[in-house]
Amino acid sequence: MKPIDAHSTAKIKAKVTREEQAARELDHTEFAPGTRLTLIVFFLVVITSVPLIQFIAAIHKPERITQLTKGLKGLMPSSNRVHTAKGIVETVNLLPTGEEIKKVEDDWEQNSEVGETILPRVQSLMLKMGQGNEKAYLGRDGWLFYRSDMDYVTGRNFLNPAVMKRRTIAKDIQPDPVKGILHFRDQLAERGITLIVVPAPVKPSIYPERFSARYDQTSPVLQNPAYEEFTNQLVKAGILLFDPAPLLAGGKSRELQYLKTDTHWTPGAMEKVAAKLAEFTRQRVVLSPAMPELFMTVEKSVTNHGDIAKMLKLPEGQTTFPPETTTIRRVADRQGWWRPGTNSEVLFLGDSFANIFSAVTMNWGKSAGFAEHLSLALGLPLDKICQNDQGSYVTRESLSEELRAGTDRLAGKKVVIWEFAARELSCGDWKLLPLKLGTRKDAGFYVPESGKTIEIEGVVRAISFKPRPRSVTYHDHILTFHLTDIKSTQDPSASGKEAVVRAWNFVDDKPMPASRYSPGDTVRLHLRPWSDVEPDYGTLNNNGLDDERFNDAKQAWAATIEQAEQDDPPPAFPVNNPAPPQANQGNAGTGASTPSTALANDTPAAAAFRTSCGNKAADGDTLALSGKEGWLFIRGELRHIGVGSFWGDTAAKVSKATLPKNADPIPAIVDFNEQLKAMGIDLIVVPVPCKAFIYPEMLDGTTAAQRLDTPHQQFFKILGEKGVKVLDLAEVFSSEKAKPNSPLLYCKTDSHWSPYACEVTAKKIKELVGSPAWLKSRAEPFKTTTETRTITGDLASEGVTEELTPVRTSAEAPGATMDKGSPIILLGDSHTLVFHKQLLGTRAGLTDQLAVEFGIPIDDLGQMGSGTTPARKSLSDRFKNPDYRANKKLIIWCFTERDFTESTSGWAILKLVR
Amino acid sequence: MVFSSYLFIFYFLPVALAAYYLLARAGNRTLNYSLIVFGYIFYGWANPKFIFLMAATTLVDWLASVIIAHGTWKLWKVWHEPVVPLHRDAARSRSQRWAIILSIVSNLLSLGFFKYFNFGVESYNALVVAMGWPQAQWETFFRVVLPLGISFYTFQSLSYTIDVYRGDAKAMKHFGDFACFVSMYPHLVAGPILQFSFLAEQIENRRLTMDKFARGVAMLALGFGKKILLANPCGKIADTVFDAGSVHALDAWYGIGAYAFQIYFDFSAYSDMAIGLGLMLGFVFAKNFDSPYKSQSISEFWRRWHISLSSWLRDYLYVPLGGNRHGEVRTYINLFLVMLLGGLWHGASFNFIIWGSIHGSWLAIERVMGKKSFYAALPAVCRTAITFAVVCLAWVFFRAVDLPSAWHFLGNLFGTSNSQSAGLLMGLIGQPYYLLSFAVAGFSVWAMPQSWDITRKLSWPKVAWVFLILLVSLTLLFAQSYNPFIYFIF
Repeated sequence: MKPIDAHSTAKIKAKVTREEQAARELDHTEFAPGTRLTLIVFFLVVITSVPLIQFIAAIHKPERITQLTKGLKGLMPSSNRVHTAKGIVETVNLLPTGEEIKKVEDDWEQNSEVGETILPRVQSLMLKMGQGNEKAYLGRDGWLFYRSDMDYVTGRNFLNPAVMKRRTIAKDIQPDPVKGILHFRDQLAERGITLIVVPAPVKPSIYPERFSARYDQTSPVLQNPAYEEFTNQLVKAGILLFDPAPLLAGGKSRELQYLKTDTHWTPGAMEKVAAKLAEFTRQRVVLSPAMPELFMTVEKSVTNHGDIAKMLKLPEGQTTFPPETTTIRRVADRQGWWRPGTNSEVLFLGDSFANIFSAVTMNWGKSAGFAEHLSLALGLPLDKICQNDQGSYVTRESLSEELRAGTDRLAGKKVVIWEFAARELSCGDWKLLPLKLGTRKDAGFYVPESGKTIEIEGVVRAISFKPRPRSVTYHDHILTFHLTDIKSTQDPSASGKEAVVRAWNFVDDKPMPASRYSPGDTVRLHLRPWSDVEPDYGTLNNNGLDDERFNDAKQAWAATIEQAEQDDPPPAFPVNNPAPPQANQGNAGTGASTPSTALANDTPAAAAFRTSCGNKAADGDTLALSGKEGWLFIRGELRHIGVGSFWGDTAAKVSKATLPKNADPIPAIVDFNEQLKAMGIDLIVVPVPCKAFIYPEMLDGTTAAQRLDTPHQQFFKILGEKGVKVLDLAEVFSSEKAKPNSPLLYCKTDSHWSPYACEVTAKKIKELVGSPAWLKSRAEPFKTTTETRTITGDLASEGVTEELTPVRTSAEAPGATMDKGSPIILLGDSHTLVFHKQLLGTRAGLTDQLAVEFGIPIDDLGQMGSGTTPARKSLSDRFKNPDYRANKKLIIWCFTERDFTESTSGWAILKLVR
Repeated sequence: MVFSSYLFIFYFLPVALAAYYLLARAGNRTLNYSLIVFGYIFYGWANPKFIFLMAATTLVDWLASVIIAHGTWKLWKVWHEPVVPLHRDAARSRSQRWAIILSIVSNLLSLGFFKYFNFGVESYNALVVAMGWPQAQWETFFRVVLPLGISFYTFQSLSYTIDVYRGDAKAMKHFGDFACFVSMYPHLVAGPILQFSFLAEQIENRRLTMDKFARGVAMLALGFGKKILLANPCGKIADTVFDAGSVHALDAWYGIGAYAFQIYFDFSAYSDMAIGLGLMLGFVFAKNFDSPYKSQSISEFWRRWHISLSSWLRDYLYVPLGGNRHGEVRTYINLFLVMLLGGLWHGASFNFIIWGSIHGSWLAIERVMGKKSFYAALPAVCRTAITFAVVCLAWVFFRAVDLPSAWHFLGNLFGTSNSQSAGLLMGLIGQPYYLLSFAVAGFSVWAMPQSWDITRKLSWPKVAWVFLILLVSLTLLFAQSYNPFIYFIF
């Protein structure tokens, strides 16, 4: 630097300043030869190498560049905002915020190629120096601890007013857990609901000796200095507090209570806490009697890296902290793997302590979480809202939002059990959230415009039953879920709305992404109106949501095709266990519960046959069971036979209906009949008998002089007494079978009946109906031909075929046997579609046979999968049109008998006309 | 933006340097424009809205300075006249007096509002509650967010108008040059506070040399190493101890020692990097730290710690208050007042007031004793140790988040705590890496020369060390989370 010149302002001062000294010193640096240039070159190479490497890598990974430029673009205001901004304030507000910029900066850093390469190696090196990182701390003997847990235990008194005030300054939060909990309790109390609070202890509280040698196994539980005051305040305020810490500390000597490299407890510790919590709950809240027979557990070994080990970001394949293996017990109910029951008396709110063995994303297995085991221990279904992190408010917020949107998640609840990590007490936001039930806005169900596909994001709140591929006869299945908090950049009008969305559960027996969804998941989807795809998918097997409020909601279709991981099959329940004492389940509130009675006129042969079928059903999990001479039987049918009595009080115990109140078929059938009668429409219920009842000898050689379906006979009798016309096909088929050279009434290798059975059934129905005045048969009878048909049954292996004969086939033009204007509706399941609508051929199904017999085309309304509730929902949809229902005179409701217990949709009472 | 961040080192700096050197032939004014552009990007990165505040401050002070320089607010009439420094002893016109008042008031109002509004409201509310009038509390619906570096650039800008008014500096006629002085990113958000009179010459006329660039690289590298390798781990120790419920006395001393090292290495690292970056851009900044923990008295400490602030306070506060020209008592009061205001400059809280008061009182006492400590008779090691202990005790108030926390921590230092979880805390702060960093920090403080002196002669072994430190700290940068400098919040 040149000497400061004579005119410089610095010279105005007389003495030499420290600045001038600096100028002289810094201008006289002594360099060893070559060091000057080396320093400059080295520095420039270092600081330019990282962006250069990033650039080169981006050539190979263009998605990286897209991601980063997308972040930068996100900082720019949209042209629309720029054009509409008025005044200085709005113009200034176009600028991005510091947080937005910081997020982009973080993204850049996290996506650094050099960083990704270096970080694991640096971390390895640090580990060798006995150092974890800023989140993960090394304990003793391979144990790892989470920094936030440590902060909770060692931190300052979280109830100290100064500490709380400071937290409010740092962030706009409500820091007082006591205030937050009391506010929640008071609101629940207004609805007569009890609150139980469960702070899940953090690992250092229970295992300080695994972190520091200053402790041993007998050390007391370590908590934040405020914990005792906190519990005292809660107890004084009358709040039920269940503290698992003593239980966990007491169990240390017997088994591990926490995973070594994870923040959470072991499955064994969690199950013990769940059991004690159930006991605690039952002692303080009057709940329905336990029904342990509702559940089963299956052990499974799971192996995973602990979340703290992952926080260390060590190189792939590191062996310092190997994956941990533990055994979980998966909980199943009669519908499959455990899932929340929205109609339960108990609502469970939980965080990652509840999710660890339940949420797929945590990789520690599923269906084995805290809620599942609490449900098991209570012997009751359980509703749950679980989300990882921020247990102080996120689950309450979710509940609050649902209520505000008009969904009464608290309806029928007696107790809310709220689990959160104890560390939340010192760092959580205990915001006061209202639990006010808002008015449901039906118009709020979002459906994109016809022909449009819109990308949205939302939170799954409820999901329908999801059968597993190959556990059912069909190969494609559609599930339904309720989505809230929708956001969409493509369609801002969607924001904040909810939607009822249908999506593939599995296609061609391959599970699709939606099969993995659980309540609480945030999902990104491409939505289309369901009406756009209904012509293609409308008759496919599907399950709807159990909540009646969605009955009239317009639905959307989630167009995502991507294969998902397949889950293990759920366990088979023993089917002939003695019926336990009854609970307050089933038909609650309907007033139509039917008492079950002992089976009248039962025979030893029938009882033995039921036992045999039950055992066969429980022994294995394949869809089909081999009988004799190549006959195949569907396992669900045998399970159904095995349960025996299936109506009345027994229904909830044996049915697979997802809602116990929909387990009993009688109230729904009777109500349906009465509604139709009020409209001047006759109903004939035509249950298709189980194949094994008609051909028991083909199952296991059983021969019986008398009918084996004594429960069904009794059931039909009850229906008859209640005014329902039932066509007892078992009687008809038995007589038919007894005829010499009688054709087969069932396919040997398929789950359905034969075309001949359809013909026989149609004739019998015509005989039953006779020739009423409204029946105006066409002058010329329907033309038919007889043929032999070769099929591959849905239970058969690929390539195995079967010949069916005789097949009476309509010789009319295609579609001649169907007419929506017909006075006769054929309602039902795939038994009404088989041999009629591209299912094992056409023109020879029940619709076609009925058309031939009645001499008029039939209004066919079959539904793949279930003829129980979904079929009646479809009818209800059609009945919205008064013109449609005006000329209807007869409904023939035909479905498989096994759906009395095997339908997950169950037997909901539906209003046909609102 | 933070010097020790991935974005700054690997993206901002290469681009800013490339742009700067590509424009080098176009002259200093063009280079100044480049500095303004990058300075505003650098500043706006934290919150773009605050660039308007900085621009407004810059404009007001520049206008005030030219009014002062020309002696009239009718600038259009005198615009073509050359600007010369005012005569120091000449009387100032009414316009000049109004202009300097405008500059001082606007700067102090802006500083006062952004820095002390929340504190004022909270103090008032606490007072009326204590007096039994809770209904008189003032409920504000907003909290004022502190703009980054406002204390630094306000003081810097203010020093300019005062220097011009006093006749110590020539006003800058060109607005761009002055904007460059205020927004120059190497020293923008955390100093050193540069006196205008020194920088003005460099803004108008500086040379880019390889010597400066190479020394700048060395200073930047050492500063980077101090921040990443020493300040941040010591900061982790200090954070853990200060956030703890209760701490064993030994751990508490370990914690406050770690904080003393953290704040020194953090702030001096920033200054080193600022000086290094300045050199790369052709500027020379004065030394801001001079091994302060080697001081043997508090008076000496303040000659070595944050020298640019203590110089500023001396030149613009102590001297105008009368300095030592009005008798001994007034001198002590002035010393105390300057340190008190110096404390308040750091932030709006009673903690900073107490911290300033401790230093002010100590300086006054030492002044009474002839600028020596009352332990002057002890061996040098003891004098340094006692001075360090006093500084550490004062740091308790500086570091603690509020007054109750400070008293609580002082209690911990003297063994009043008894907690079962203290063992866990020892495990947290006793991690080998932390212990090593603490030991190296201590060694560097008392046994090593500072960066300024290390880089005075750059031999091959030193250069190798510089390389090593830079590479290791850049590598560790990827393993550390966001670590802004402590003085960013002042």
